[in-house]
Amino acid sequence: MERLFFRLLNMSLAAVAVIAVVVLLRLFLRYAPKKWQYLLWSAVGFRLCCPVSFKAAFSLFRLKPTIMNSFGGAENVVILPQSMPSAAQLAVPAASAATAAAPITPAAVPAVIPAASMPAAEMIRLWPTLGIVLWLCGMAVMLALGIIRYIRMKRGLADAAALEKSVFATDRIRVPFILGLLPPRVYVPAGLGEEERKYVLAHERAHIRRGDHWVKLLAYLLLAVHWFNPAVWAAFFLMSRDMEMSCDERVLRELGGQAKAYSRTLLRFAEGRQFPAPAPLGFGESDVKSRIKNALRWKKPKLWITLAATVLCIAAVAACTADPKEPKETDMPATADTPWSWTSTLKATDIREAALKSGSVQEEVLLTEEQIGELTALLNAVPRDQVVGGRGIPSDRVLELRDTGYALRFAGGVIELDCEAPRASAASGYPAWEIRDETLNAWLNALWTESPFGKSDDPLGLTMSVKDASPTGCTLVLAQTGGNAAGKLQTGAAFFLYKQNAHGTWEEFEALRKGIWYDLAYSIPKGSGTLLTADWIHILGPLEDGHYRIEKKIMDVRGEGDYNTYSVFAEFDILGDAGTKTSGRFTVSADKCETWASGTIQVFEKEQSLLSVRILAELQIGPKDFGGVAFYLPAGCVLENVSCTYPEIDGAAGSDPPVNAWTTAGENEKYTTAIEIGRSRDEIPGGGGTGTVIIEASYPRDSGDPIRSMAFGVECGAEEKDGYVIMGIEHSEIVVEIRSP
Amino acid sequence: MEGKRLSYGEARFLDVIWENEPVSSGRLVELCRDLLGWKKSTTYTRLRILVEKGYVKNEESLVTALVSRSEVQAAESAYVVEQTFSGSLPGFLVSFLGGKTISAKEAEELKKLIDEHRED
Repeated sequence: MERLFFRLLNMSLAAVAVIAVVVLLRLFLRYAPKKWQYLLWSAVGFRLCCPVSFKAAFSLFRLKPTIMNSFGGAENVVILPQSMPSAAQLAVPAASAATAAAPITPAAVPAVIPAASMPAAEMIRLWPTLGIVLWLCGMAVMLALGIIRYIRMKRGLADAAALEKSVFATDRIRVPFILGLLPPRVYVPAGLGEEERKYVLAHERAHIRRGDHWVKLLAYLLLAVHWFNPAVWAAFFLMSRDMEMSCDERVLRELGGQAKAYSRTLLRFAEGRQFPAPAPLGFGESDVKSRIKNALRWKKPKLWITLAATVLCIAAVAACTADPKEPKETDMPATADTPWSWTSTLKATDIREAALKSGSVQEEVLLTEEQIGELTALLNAVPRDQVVGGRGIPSDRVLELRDTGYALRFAGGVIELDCEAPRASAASGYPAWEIRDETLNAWLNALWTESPFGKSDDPLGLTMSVKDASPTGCTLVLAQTGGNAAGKLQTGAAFFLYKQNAHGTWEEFEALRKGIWYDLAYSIPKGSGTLLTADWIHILGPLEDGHYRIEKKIMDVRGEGDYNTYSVFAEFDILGDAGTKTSGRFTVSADKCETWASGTIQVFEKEQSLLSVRILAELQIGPKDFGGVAFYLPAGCVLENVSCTYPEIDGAAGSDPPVNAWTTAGENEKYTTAIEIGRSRDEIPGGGGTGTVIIEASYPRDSGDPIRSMAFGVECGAEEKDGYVIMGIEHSEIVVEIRSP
Repeated sequence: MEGKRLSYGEARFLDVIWENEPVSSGRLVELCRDLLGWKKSTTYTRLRILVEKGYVKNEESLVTALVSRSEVQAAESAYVVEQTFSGSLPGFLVSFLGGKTISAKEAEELKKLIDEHRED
């Protein structure tokens, strides 16, 4: 419906131009027979009802090709956000800054954007609908009026008696007119004199012979459709006048003069101006004064005037009716120009600038001159018959070709050339062309994938964000929605990490790239979110605060061995925990046993009366050692969690780490909680290995308890000496100062 | 006599009846179709109206007029004299004659008429 309405508006606007020209030409044709003026209106009529017309090399519309396009884009006053998945994610500001992992650089896009602009978008969309409703109402009114008038006339003329065939007399009318179409009937007032009757009938018959009753009806219908256009109203009135006057002239020619007598008759039936009606062709309609003047002035026209007028008329009608000729146009819609002809070569300077954009996101990526050159060459290489009418594709991948006023939109293997600014929806339906060229498609998609837009999500419909980033690892959230994944999505355990250095460039942690990963496959179901963990502590150790980027490789698996690999990225920050924090590093080793542990103990204030304790350590236990590594927590600590990768096999976490944790209830004990790793009271060595451990505990404290420090214990190894077994031959106490808040 | 005035259509209709009375309603419909271009329904409607007004009677589908031509003419003329000539008969006559001369025969007829209608 909207499409139709905008077509109509276009037509109406185009008609205004034609009407203006016709009015101008009428001035020139003033002294020529009126039938030429009358004829000119056919061009207007044509323009008002036919959206497409024949082509001509010259056309009025070549002067202003943009009328159509710019008007047709009335809906497009504002570039509307097509879909806001990324913005929607931004709309949830995460508590921890680590989640600020918008794939596109987290510019200052406030979270308010989705809420605020959606109503505006709905509002702009309201106008076309409102316009359509208004137009339909107007048209309904016009049609209703016409129908009502017709019915009333017919009723009032029920007892009109025939004088001759199709000529009726009645005393209910004062002015003669024509009513009806099949067959048209002439109604005259009763009691007409012989002379008057002669003229009246001649006039009305002339109308009928020329088919004016049909013309009037059509004109009225067009007026009903274009009721909002004042130029069309003016045209209707002027056309009616020309119709009447040209009819007068016909009659006078038939009668061979008698202009004076005829004028008298005209005068007798002079009525006031009436609201335009569809059917009756009133004898006294249309400005009787001018008609009388015209009739009196009438003489048989000179030949040269006739010829000149004919030529002028035909030329004008042709010029106004025709659309500008397209160089080659079979598939191209006729109502708009393409920026370049497919038969000529597009020059590299035609596209001044090309910008890659994603939907309505502010950021854009400008193509280099080289890339523009490549694009130009590719566009030139597209075979002519591979360009067909497009329907509009909803896609947020846009390449704006400035300043041609066109843009390329592509998704899922389809490329479209849209005019003007990228559309908000495909339904608005104004000219677009579909370009079917695989080379261009491949090039565009490669361009996209390499851009910052492509690197983060799509075509898999996958967005990755980081949650709970800490110096040891993080949790990844993979949200899958939509996208063009061909098969099932999977990923492995592997990930790669980059850190942003002072210059802003990304430096990769090579160790992860070279590391050997456990051969696992996690499937990523569509339409949902998947959680994965990524811990780097055992390869990289704890990382410092900074801005990082994590990369995961996703496989789109269609079948056995048939898959594509894509990379998804997410950026995050590792920030030191807020609150007072203290830490202590330690290294404890029992060389004899080839066992050692090294790491940090962190204590920080999670809440007012709650301290949080975290121990991060790397450890190694010797193959013959049965003592392992043990950690001790002071009284008052509550053990929350222990995660341990020891013993690691081929760099992957062991499935059943030999961890024991227990708490004593003893009072006045220094340590009440112990976490033992790789320790066997049976003195059976575990076989050794390396690993990392994370111990989390909390320490609730009373507000009135100003503890100053906490003491932790770490010990390694074991030995048997003189029949006694000593566990933890190397022991270290780590005191962590608690800074008062 | 004002009541006996007719519209143009009615006058034409009565003309047909006067010319052909007494006429069957079926035949009347045919005549109206040919002479007046009226549909059957139009004819029957107009017939009904005239019957109601008392100008015509329709008994057993036989139509006859209840008023005569002269009655209707008289009514029309009286109306014209009243409206246009403010009831002045001489005024009407002057206008009607309009500078024309009348033959001796016509003059005789007129004189006779005037004498018959003279108030005493």
